[in-house]
Amino acid sequence: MNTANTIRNPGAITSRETNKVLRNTYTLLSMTLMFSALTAGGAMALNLPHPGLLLTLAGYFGLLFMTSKYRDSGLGIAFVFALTGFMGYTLGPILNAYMALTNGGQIVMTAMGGTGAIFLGLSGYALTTRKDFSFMGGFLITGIVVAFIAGLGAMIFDIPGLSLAVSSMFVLLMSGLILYETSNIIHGGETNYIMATVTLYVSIFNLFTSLLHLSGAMSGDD
Amino acid sequence: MTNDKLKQQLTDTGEPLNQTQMLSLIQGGVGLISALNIRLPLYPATEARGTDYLTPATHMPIRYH
Repeated sequence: MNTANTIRNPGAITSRETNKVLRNTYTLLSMTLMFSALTAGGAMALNLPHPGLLLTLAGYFGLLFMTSKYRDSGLGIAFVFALTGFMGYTLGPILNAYMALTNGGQIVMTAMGGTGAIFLGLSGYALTTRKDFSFMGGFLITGIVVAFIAGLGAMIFDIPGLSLAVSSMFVLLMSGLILYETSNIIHGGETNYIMATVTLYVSIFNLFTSLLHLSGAMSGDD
Repeated sequence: MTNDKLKQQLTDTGEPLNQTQMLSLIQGGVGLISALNIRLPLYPATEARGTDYLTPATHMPIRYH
């Protein structure tokens, strides 16, 4: 008699679940991207001003808290749209300022194309190779906190050079975050598609703003 | 101090942020959101590879098919 306990391959059981999370994440991500493009376009068309320091931070973290709180209910989807819509709105005045430059359209399109190419390339790499990038988590958190503090310094003391360095850091960090989160979904580390969408959305958003800043500075008009 | 000067001092909220400062603020805020969203694995991953000799209930090896 075979006394060894035998179980089915757990990988086969979870692959259907991870595929479902992945499909739902990409569906919600594309919808939120379109929605935030609409709110950014609205803010541009109406020439709305910057929401300001306090309102921006309160909106970001308040809506993130609500999204996280209702992550397991239908209300979570409403808060994801509220968060991404608000983030799109904060981007509107920045885009308006860039579009006012002589080659503004080119700068925005370069940043948009770069963001799309990086996201598709890295997601495709993580999905096809199925490598585990969970080892990057600690490095990413440390890097983001350092970049955040440096960005705060650049903002308070108005140092454009440091601000550009922070943008370069964010391009690398957000690229790493795309690999980390995609791998996390594939390997069953992230089972909530609402939170997975938020992570991928903020990576794309920050990648776009960083590339916008860098390409604007390199064009010589910033 | 005249009333007007006092009123101006009380209502002065500082210079508005310029484009680069606003971009830094947005990047920092969004960056922090991404840091908050990273959930580090607290325990080492228990991948189903080969034979598990450390099953506490039975101490019997588990074979994965």
